[in-house]
Amino acid sequence: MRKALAVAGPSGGEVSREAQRSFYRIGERLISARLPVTLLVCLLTLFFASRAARLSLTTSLDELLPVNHPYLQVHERYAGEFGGTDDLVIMLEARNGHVFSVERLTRVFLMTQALDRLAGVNHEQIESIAHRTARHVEVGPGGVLRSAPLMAGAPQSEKEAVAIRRLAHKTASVHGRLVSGDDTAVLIRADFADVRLDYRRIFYELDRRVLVPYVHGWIGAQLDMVTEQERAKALVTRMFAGSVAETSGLKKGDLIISVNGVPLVDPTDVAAAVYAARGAGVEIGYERGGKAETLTVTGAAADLEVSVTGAPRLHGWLYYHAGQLIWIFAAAALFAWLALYLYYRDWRGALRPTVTAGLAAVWGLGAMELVGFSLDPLALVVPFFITARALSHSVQMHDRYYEEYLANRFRKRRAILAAYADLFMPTLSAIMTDAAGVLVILLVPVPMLQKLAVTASFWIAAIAVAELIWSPILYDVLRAPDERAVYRRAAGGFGDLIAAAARGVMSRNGRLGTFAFWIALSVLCSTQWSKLTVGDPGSGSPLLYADAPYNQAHRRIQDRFGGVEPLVVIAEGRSRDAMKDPRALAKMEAFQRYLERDPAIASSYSLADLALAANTLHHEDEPKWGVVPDRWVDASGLFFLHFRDANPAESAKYVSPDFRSAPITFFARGHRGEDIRRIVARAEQFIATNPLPNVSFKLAGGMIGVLAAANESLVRNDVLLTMLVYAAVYVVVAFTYRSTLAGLLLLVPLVVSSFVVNAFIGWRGMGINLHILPVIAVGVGFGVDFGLYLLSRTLAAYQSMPSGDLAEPVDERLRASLLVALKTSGRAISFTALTMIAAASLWTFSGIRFDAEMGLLLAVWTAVSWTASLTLLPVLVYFVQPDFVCKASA
Amino acid sequence: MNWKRFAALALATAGTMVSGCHHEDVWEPLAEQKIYVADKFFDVYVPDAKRALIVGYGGKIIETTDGGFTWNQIASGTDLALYSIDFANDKKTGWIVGQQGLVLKTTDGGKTWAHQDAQPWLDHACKDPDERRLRPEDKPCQYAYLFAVSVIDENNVAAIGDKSTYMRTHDGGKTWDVRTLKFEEGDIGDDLLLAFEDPVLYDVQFLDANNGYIVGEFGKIYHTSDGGRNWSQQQESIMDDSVLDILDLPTLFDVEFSDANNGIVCGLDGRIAVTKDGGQDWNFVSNNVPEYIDPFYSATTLPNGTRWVVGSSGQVVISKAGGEFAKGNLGSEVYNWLRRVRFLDDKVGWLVGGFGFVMNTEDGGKTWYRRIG
Repeated sequence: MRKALAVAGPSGGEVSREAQRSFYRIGERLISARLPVTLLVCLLTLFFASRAARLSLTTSLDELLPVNHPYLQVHERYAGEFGGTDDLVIMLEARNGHVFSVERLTRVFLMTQALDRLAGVNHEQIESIAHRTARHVEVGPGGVLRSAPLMAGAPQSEKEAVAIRRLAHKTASVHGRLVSGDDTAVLIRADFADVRLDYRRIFYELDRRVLVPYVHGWIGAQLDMVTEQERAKALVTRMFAGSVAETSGLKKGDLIISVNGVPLVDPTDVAAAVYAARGAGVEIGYERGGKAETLTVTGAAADLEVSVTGAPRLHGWLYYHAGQLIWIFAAAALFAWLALYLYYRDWRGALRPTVTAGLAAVWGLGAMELVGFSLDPLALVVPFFITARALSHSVQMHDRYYEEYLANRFRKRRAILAAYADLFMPTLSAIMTDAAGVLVILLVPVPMLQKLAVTASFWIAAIAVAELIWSPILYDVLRAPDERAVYRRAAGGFGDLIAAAARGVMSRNGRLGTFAFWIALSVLCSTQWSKLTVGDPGSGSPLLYADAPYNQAHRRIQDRFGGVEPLVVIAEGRSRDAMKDPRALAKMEAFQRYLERDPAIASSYSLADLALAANTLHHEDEPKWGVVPDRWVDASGLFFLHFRDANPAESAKYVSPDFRSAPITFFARGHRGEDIRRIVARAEQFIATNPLPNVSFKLAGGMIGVLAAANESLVRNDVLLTMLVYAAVYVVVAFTYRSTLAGLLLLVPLVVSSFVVNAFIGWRGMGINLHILPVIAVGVGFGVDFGLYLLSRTLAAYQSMPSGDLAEPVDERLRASLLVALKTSGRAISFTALTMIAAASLWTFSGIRFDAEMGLLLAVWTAVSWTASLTLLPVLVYFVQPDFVCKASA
Repeated sequence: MNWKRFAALALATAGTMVSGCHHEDVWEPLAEQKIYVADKFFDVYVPDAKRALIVGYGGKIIETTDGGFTWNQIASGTDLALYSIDFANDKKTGWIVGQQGLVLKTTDGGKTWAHQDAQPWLDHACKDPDERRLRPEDKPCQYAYLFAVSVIDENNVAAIGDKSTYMRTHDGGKTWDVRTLKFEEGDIGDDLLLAFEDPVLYDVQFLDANNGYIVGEFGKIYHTSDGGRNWSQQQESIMDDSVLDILDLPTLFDVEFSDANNGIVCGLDGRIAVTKDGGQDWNFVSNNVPEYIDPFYSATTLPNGTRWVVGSSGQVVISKAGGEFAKGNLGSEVYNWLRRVRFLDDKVGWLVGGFGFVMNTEDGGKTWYRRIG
C-alpha cells in the first residue's frame, strides 16, 4: 500500500475534481493572456514602487497609543502646557569638585541656550539652572520682593558663581531637582513638541550643537559667530584660565577662520574637529590684529561627563543603528538565495521566491506609504515576517512544480498547470487565512495597528498576485529546469531525512512521544509565563542592550537624581482660580507625600511646593512659614508676587494662566511595567478616597502616564488580537474544509507556538511593550500555512488512494496519507522553515536589542510552527481521525 | 470524527498549563519610615543623653530613646505644622506650639499630647462669636501662628507668634492670656508705621519667672523683668556702623541666654549679635565667613561657652568661649536649611532642619551623625 500511495500522484485536494479542472483552465488562460496580464501586474507594481520610494523611516509613537484611553486624553489636553513625553534629559557631572565654577556654569548656560535653539524644542518647557524659568525671589530696591532668573547670564566672576550656588541651594525647584544634592551634577531638561519629530536630526543636532561644543570638544574658549566680507569667523569672546585654548596660544579677540585648513563655516567646527581628532592636534587658522596665523590645539577638556536620556535620545540611537539593518536584510536575502539554489540545484528555484517576495514587498510598502503607516527601525522586523510568508508560499508552489515535472515526465506546460491546479486552493486559503488573520487587527483600537492591519493584509494578499496570477506565466516564460537537477532534488538526502523523521513520528512510539513532548513543552512554557511582564521589565530601555551608551547614561542619571521619568497628574478645577484654594494645595501636597512612599517614586513637584517655597521666601526665608497659606486671598497674593515678573508662558508649567488647573509631577525611578501599574493604582486609590468639592485629580500624563495607558491597553489588545486572529483563522479554515474540526486542528500548532513564544518573551525578559505588539499582531497567524499545506496534501493523498487500498482500516489509510504529505509538503515546509530560521538568526547581529530579539523570536516562532505542524498536527489528525479527511474518499 | 478524544486532550493540556502558570501579582509595600526626605523639622528637645523629641511639618513628632538609631512616631492629633517644643524642669510637662494657634500639652514626658484651646485670634475682635460669624468667607477670623514656646515651670508658659502675638498661662494652660505687644515708634513716619507695626515674633525665652526675651521682625528685641506684664525694647543698642537706620535692622529668629547676662541673637543676612549685660548693650559680631549672607535661624551656647549658630543653606559657625566665630564643620557638605541646634550639655547635641535633616553629636560637635529613620 505504501508503494501505491507513494506514487499516488499529486492531484486532487479538498475541492472537487471539477473545481480542479477549472483551476487548470484558469492556469491555461493566464498563460495564453500572458502579455496583458504581465503588463497589468507590471503597471501596478510600478505604481506601488513609485509610492514605496517615498516611504521613509519615521517614528510616530502616538499612533501606537490607545487614543481613546482616558489617560491619553488628559495627556493630549495638557501636554502643550505641562510637558509631553518627548522629554530630553542631559546630566553634566563634574569629574572633580562641584559644578559651580565660572567656567562650568558658563558651559551650562551656553548648552542651555544651544538646546533652546534646537528644532522642535518647546521653548517654555526647558528646565535648567541657566534657563529663565529657574527663578528665585529676591528683595529689590525699596524692599520690594521680586522673582528673577537664577542666572540672568553666564557668570563673569567667582563671586557671581558663589551667589548662583547659594541661590540654587535656597530654591526648592532647583536644589535636588536640577542640581544634585552634593552640587556635583546638573540636569538640563527639554521637552520637544509632540508632533512627528525627526529623531535622527535631533540626535545629530544635539551632538553637533550642544554636546560636542561644550563637553566632548570644549577647549575652554567661548566662540561667537561673526561674518566679515561674507566669510564666517569665530570670535574668541571669552577665554578661561588654564584651558586647552589658552595653553595652545589662542587669545581673546582672535578670529578663527579655518580648522585643519578648511574654511570655518560655524564656530562648532572647532569643537567638532577637536573631538574627531581624539587627542591628536587640530590646526586652527586665525586672525590677530589683521594678520593670519595658525596654531595647534590638542585635546579637549575632560572635566565634565555628560549623560543623555529621554525618548528623543533613545529614538535617535535607534536610527543610529538602523543602518545596520540594511546589511542584515541583504545578508538574509543572500543566504536565502544560496539556500534555495542549493536545494533546487537551479537558479530558477532562487528566482521564483524572490519574484514573489519582491513583488509583494513593493505592493506592501507602496500601500504603507499610501495609508501613512510609519515604518521605524523597530517596525522593520514586520516586513521580514511577511517576506518569510512569501517565501513559504512560493517554495510550496515551486516544489510542487518540480514534483509534477517529474510525475508528468518532463512535460513543462502540464507540470505548470497540474501544480497550479493542485495548489490553487491550498495557496489561496493559506494566503486568505494569513491576510484575514492580520486584517482582523483592524478591530483593535490602536491607529498604528489598524494601519498595519490594512497594509500587512494587503501585502500578504499581494503574494496571491505573484503566486496565483503571475506564477504560471513566469514558469511558462522560464526555461524548464534541467532534468538532472529535478532528479537530484527528488533523490536528495534532505528528502530521505524528512521521510525517516516522518516514519518515526507516525510510529506508535513516535505518536506517544510527540504527545508527551508537546504537552511537556507547553507545561514548561507555562511556568515561564509568570516572567512575562506587561510594559518594560527594567528601568532602562529594553530596546537597546543593557551596556548600550543610552542605557548606561540612563542608569547614571537615575542613580544621581533618584528618578527623572515623569508621571503627571492634573489637578483640574471646576472654575478659574481653583488652584488658589488652600484645600486644593494641601491635598496636592498630601497626594505627593503619599505617593512618594511608593518605592518606585523618587520625588515630586507641584504648585503646592511652589506655594510653600514662595511663602517662605516672602517671609524673610523663615522655614516655619513654609506651609500652605490658610486663606485663598493669601495664596492668591503669594502667586501674584511670585509670577508677576515672569512671562505667563513660564508660569504655565506650574499652573494654567487662569489658575484652573495645575500639574503634579512625580518622578519615577524607572518605567517597569509592574511599577507603573502599582503607582497608578495607588494614585487612583488616593484620588478615590480624597475627594475635593471644586477640584478633581486626573490621571495621567508624562512618560509614565502614557506608558500606563499603553500597558493597560496592551493587556487588553494582546489578548484581543490573539483571539481575533485565531477566530479569523478558524473561520477561513473551517470554510475551506467545510469542517469545524479542521479549524480546531489547525489552531493547535498556532496555539502551541503562542505558548512557546510568550514563554520565550518572558524568559528573555523582553516584556510585552508597545513595539512588540505589531510584531505579535503579524506573527500570531504565522505558520498556519505550514499546517494548511500539510493537511491539503494529506487529504489529496487520502482521496487519491487506489480503490484496492480502501479495504485497509481507516487508521492505516490515514497514516499512509499523512506519511505522503510529510514526505512531500513536509519537505518543502522543512526547507522553508530552516531557511527562515537561519536568515532570521542574522538579526541577532543588530545593534538594536529589540530587533535582535525579534529576529530570535521569529526563528523560535518558525521552529515551533514548523515542528508542531510536522509532528503534533499529523499525530493529532491520526488520533482524531476527522471526517473531513476520512470520509472524503467516499 | 472523534470529538471526545479531541476535547479530552485539549482539556488535559489546558488544565495542566493553568496550574503551571499560576502567578500572583504582589505589590511592593509603601515605605513606612519615620523620617522622609520631604520632612521639615523645626525644633528638638533633648531631655537626656539618649532621648530626643523632634517636631516638624504636618503635625510630626518623632522620638528616639537610643541616640538616634531608632525612632518612634508619636501621634499629635493634627496635621498642622509644629514649630516649637519645650518642657518644664520635671521633663514630664511640656508644650508644643504651632500653625494656626495650635497648642499641645503633655504631662507624660511627650508620650501623649492633648490639644489646648488657647484661641490666639489675630484680630482680637474675633473673640466675639458674632464677629466671627459675620466675617466674609475669603477673610475669616484666624488664629495666629505660634512660632515659639518657653516653659518656665509646670504652670507658667509663654508663647509668641505672628502679628506680635504674646500669650501667657499661669495655670498650666487651662487659661491663656493672649495679647498683642504694642510699642510707640517715635522715629518712624506714619507712612512706614503700617509696615512696621505688629512685627512677627519668632522666639521667646524666659530665664525665670520674671526675666524673659522675645525677638522678631525688624530686629526687635524685647525684654521683661516682671514676668511679661511689661516689655521694653532693647534693639536700639544694636545699631552700629553697619545699621544706620532702624528700618535696616535684620529680622531676628532666635534668642538664647545662657545666664542672666550672656545672650545671643541671630537672624537675617547672616547676622549674629551678643550681649554680656543682660541686653543693655547688644553688639553685632561677624560670622567671619564672607559667603554666609543667608539667615541664621538658631543659636545656642554650651556650658563650656562654645557657641553654635546654624541657618539657611547649611550655614554653621562656631565660636569657642569668648572667641570669634569661624566656619563650622558637620563632617559632610550640607546645603539644606538648619532650623534648630540644641545641646543637652557640652557633649550631647542635636541639629534638625529641612529635607528630613537630623544630626546628633555625642562629643561636643567634633563628630556629627546623620540620622535616618
